[in-house]
Amino acid sequence: MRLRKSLILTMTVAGSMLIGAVWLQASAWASASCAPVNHCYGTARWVSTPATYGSGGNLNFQCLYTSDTGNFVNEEMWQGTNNDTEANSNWVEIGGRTGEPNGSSRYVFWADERSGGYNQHFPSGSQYAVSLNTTYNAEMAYDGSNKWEVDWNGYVVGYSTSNPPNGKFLQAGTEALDNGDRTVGTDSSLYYLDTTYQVHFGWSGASIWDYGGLTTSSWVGSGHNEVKWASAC
Amino acid sequence: MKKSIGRCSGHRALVLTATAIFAAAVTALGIALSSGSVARASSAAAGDIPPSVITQLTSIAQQQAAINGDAQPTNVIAVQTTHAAALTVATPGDILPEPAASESVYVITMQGSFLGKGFSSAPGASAPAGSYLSIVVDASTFWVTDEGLSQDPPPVSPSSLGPTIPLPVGASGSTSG
Repeated sequence: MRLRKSLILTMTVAGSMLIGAVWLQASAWASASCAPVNHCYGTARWVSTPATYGSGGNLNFQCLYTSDTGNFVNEEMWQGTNNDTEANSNWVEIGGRTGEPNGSSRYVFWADERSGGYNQHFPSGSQYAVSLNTTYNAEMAYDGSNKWEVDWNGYVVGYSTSNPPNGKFLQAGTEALDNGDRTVGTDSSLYYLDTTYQVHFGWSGASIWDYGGLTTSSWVGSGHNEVKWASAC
Repeated sequence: MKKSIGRCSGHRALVLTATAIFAAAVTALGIALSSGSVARASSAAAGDIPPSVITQLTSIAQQQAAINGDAQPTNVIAVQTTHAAALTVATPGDILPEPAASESVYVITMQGSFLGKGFSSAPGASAPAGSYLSIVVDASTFWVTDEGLSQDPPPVSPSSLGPTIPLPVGASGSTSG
């Protein structure tokens, strides 16, 4: 009898805690402040990295949806360039997107910013369609002569030229523009290439960075090898 | 008797040379004529773009202008070209591998006061701004393949790629009637 009472009490407390946690999370998402001019991010972010010649990882998309296809939501990786330690104005990125400019499908994109302006690309073809619960390798690597090669799942999707080395910034995660966006995913086997093209697994100096209140991000396991991010889905 | 060129008599060599020169001249004339017809075909193609295509390009241009903060852009034009050539206008410095580089596309350019809401931006930074917005569209599927936003005009003029088509968007629409 006493044992049964104790069990009921424990279950009640546990249930209350679970409801409380869900409520807190829902409140956090409800108070998100994503906007087209103030994007939300849920990422692993490494500023002032050692000098890099590239980076990569395995992106897995578990949820990627926007109710407003005039906006977009991405799950992606960023590689700083030109010794820009915070990728303020020199970077290359690659990932999957839904929304603007190609509607509600999920598709690959890559982009860069450098002295010439902002550029983004949406390669066409079935190999650049993005499916949920599927893992894709993404890599950006310095190719010499101020040129970076951008690869998606073994395909070269493009080159960013007039874009000097070195990389000093790395980031992986999600970027959203609307509080109603849904984005859940992981990026595993995170690595970077040093300036001799040696591969280093684990983003040892990276930190979790959730900005704007849409997502909750965390490391999976140890060694900063895998990051996950999640909004409501 | 089997003969080689080295065994030809002087007369025979002269005839052969004259024949070769004539053949070369005919070939050159043919190439020149066909080049001219290609150029004319290119001009004609621009004039022959179906109204439905112009409607599609106009719709895409209007949508992108509005999303990027200026629904009344000026000088909105489109030109048909290869994907590689389009990038020299729209996203100069970015290069595509084959076969994407050879695909037929339309590149749309416009001027305005744009705030790149449709552009991915640096973490924590505000949306990028620019005066020149360029959009590249696959000529067969109308999939938007590329977008560029810059404060500077395209380093390669769209008109250098072929005949341009004005699109009735925003201020361009009101001036063109």
